[in-house]
Amino acid sequence: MITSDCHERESESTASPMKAGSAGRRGRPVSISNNKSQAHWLIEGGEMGKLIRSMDWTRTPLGPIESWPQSLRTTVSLCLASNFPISLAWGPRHVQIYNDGYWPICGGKHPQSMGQDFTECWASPWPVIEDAFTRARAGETSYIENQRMFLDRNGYLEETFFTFSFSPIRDETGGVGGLFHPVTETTIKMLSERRTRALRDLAARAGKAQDVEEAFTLAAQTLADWDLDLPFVLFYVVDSQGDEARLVTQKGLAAGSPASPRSIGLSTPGGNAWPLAEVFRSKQTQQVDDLETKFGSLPCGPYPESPSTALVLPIIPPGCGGALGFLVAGVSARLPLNEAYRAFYDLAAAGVTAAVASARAYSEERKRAEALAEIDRAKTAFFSNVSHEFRTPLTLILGPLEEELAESHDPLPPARRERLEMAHRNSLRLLRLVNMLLDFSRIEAGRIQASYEPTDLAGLTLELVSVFRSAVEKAGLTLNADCPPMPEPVYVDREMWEKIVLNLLSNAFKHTFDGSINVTLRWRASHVEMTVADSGVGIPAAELPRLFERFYRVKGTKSRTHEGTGIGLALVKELVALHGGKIVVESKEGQGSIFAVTIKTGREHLPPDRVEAARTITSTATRDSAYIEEALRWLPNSSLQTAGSSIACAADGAALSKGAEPGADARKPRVLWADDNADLRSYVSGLLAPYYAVEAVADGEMALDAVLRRPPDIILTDVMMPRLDGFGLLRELRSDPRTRTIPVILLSARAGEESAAEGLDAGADDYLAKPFSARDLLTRVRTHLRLARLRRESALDLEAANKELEAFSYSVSHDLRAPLRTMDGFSQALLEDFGSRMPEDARRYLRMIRKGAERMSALIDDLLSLSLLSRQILNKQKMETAALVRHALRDLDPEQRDRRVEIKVGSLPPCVGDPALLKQVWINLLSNALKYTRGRDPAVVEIDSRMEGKDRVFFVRDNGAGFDMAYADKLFGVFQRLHREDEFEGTGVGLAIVHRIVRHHGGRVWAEAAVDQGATFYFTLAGGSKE
Amino acid sequence: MSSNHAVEILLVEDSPQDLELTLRALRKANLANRIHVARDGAEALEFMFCEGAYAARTIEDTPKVILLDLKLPKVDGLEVLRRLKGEPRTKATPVVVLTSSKEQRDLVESYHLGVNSYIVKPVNFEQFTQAVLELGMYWLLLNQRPGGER
Repeated sequence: MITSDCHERESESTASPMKAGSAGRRGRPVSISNNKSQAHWLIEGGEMGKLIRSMDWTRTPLGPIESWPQSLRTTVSLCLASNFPISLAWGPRHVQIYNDGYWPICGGKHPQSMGQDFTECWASPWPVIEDAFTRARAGETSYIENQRMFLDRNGYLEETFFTFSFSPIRDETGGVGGLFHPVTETTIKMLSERRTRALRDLAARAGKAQDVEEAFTLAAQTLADWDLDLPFVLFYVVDSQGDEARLVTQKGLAAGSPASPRSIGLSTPGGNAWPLAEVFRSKQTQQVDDLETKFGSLPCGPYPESPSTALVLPIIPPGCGGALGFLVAGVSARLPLNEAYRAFYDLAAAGVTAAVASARAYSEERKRAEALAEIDRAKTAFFSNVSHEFRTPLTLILGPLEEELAESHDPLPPARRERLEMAHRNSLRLLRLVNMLLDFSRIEAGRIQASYEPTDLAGLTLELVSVFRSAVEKAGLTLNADCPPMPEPVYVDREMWEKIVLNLLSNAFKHTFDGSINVTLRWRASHVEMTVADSGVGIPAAELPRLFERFYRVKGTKSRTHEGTGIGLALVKELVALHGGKIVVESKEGQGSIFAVTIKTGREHLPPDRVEAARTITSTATRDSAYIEEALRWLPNSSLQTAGSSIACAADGAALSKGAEPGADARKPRVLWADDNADLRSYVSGLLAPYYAVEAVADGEMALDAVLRRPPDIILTDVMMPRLDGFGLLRELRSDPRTRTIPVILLSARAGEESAAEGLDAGADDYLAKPFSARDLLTRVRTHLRLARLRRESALDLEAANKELEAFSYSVSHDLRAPLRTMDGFSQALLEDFGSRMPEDARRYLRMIRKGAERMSALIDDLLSLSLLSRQILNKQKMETAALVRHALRDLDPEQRDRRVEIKVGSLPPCVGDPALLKQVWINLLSNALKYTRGRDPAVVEIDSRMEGKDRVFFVRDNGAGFDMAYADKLFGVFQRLHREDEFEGTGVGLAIVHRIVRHHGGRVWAEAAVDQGATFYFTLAGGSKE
Repeated sequence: MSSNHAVEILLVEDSPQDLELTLRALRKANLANRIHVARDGAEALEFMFCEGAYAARTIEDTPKVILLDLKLPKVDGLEVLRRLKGEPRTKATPVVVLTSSKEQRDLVESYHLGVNSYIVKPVNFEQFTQAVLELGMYWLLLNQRPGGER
């Protein structure tokens, strides 16, 4: 059914109108005559000349050649002499004679077509040539260019194009004897042009597609216009799993017909309507033949004949590993599938591929853009919703609070009033933040409604500055305002100008600790300039470019508070821009900052509909009291006097004790509480005061001072604080042995697992996210105090046990030795005073008593130094290992007397450790080596080191008695001995001491040996041995 | 100049065995003639400050050297040392600590309090005798100078 190659086709068309004619031709064989002399004028006539000469013309209406009139002869010889395809139709029966050039046009009709009736021979295209033919018979020359016609020359109707003319030939009678018919076949050119147009069309239309499916649909629509070349097209798209192809669009065939199934599986080749699975795999175009056998007659245009062949082409956009889809395209029933036609299919598939690729790129780009736009919209909507939703409950909080506070008939007792005032202040602050966020979301959404009014800007500015005066002066600063009256009103939105001025003042106040804040306003004709200059901490140059970015906060600068949203300055910038103005900042670290706002004068730059316009959306003007209340709270020692309160909030470090006697406080656990927010400071202090003695401070440094002055039982600290933040405080506390064990709870507004983990990593005992409940806080404090007490108690127990042990070893040192000395001393006295009168055995016994006492003494010394090790604090320092070994050897000198001992010292790099203890290690290892080499002559002791991985390994090797490796694990145990006392003396403690010292240094010690083959002792000092 | 009858060595030792061994060592070195023995810290202090049983003594009759054990009943050796060295009248008398203790802190504390010598009593009797001899001689000779020069 399917053949890979089929350039020529065998048409079995039964519908050919040629059938009858062909049958007729078959019944009229041409006889060949050998009479050459009769037609000598035909000799030059090429192949056709030969044919004409050889034919028996007597059976034709023309009769024998000899009888042909001169006019015919002349015309025939002209025709045969020409290279141009020419045919003649002579006589009333239109007998056709043609030359070599015309021959291919006849195709399979030749040679029957020679001498045939022209009208009969060209019956198939007759409808399009009849008129020209008839006119020429009537004596009128006709010319037709690129005439499309269907020739049955190759056994099927073939779509062809010809340019030709018919010219009348006058015969001897003067009438029209025949027709002169020069012809050019333009099929190749015309098809090529048509296909080029199709491809251009495809590129133009399908290239506009915005997604893959649309690309296919547009491609199908476009290609449908070119059904002469593409009788049908089907587009299949591969699904995401790659196991099925789905029909997305089709032209020429209805969807779901046997030849156009809606889906075709890709997993199993064979048995499907189209070999998509095969093409999917091979990525190569495949040709499918015998479509009629497969599907029956296909009901597609443009001809009555059904296409018998189709091509399946993969659509593989660049960057895709495999086919994304398939183009199944029918081959015209009336065109040979030649190279040019095949190339057209390839180009069409390439065009579709390009359209699909660009659609894919486009749709991905669009999806990204849409996603971004969606996020942006969502964010703006979120801010807007949140801010709106917050304002309602805030209003309901503020209203009743203010009423309650204003109540004069039945005033609240001061303690309860304080709490309400705190709530009121913080509600105002929240309202201000919410308003700022709302402003932002409105600016973002382009919904901000400014109302520009002609304003006495100097007056308004002075009014706003005066709001801040008391707070600034309370902080010991001066506030100067130099705002001369402006010559004409300036168009500003008053609410916005208020926010600009108050935010800049608030910012200046926050970062200025001494000196002044100066506000100036200047008229500069085309614009006005306002500057807010402070003598504060300034802004590092690197931070300036980002200063006006939203949520950006300059890190690590000194400020009155760490509180802030990072949106104040960003908002100011937006508001200034809405006035057609700009804001710039100049700053020098340590000297201060100048913010300069310029806005245009006049009203030309403002949108006319917003000048003196009414507002329709909620005002976000925040009462200036919110700014000032907040600013006042940044002052240290802020004792809430603005609200006439009496809560003593000991920001200066004095213990806060609310109504409790000092005696009672002394017994209470002491809590140190650090936070830069004065309200929170007093709120938490109030919560804790009934149970604990609370000291509240405003930042990490004050906290550290307070801790060192008098360590509290527990520390609660905020994370974000000026000067020294919570993490910094933790670091300081944990690095000081005096404060290392004090429990610390971090309180922070930064919620989330991550922050908690960060806090715990930094050494905090607990982490509490704001807002926290009073009960939660109290529980945590109680828990950690209890834990700390338990820790302390167990530490005390341990200390007591240690002390006991120390006392024990102290008395061992004294009291165990005294009786030994008695034994030894009196044995000696006995020997001295009565030795001469004693039998030899008695003297030997006394000597044995003395030896026992000495051995016991050595044992005591070793045990004492072993027990000492567990209490000793390492005094680590860098030292010369070689010198250490030298000293050890010198101490061991007596053991080497009267013996031949070779000591080889290799390369010993410096090490880090406790010199006294390491010397002990070397002494013990070397004396061990000397002891067990006693029988060797010479004894050889090697002392050396080498690298093993990252560790420096020191070792002592001897050629002594060695030991059985089976007992290697017992080597370093206390009192473990591998030799009998009478072989090698010793207490069995020396190596245990080595082991303990090395382990104490974080190193390890091990040995290798064999009986009578010597032993090697290795040790490392982790972290100590350096090259 | 001390009188011939004056005590030259005050030996403060509670253990009868150690006492005998020490005396034996001193005897061997011909230093045992004018030894006074105190059996605890309190007695040593009474002797030195002429109190209690020693009220009849004159304080100027100070021994040339004091051999002091550290582990003593009643008032321990370090306390005795502290009192002696804290008192102008007794401060100049050399004190040799003679003890079983090898404890670092005893040694450090003793020197801190102004001890003149510190001897760890060896178990081996010959070594012990040797040490007593050398130290006793040294301090006795050193103190054999005219009292006016002190």
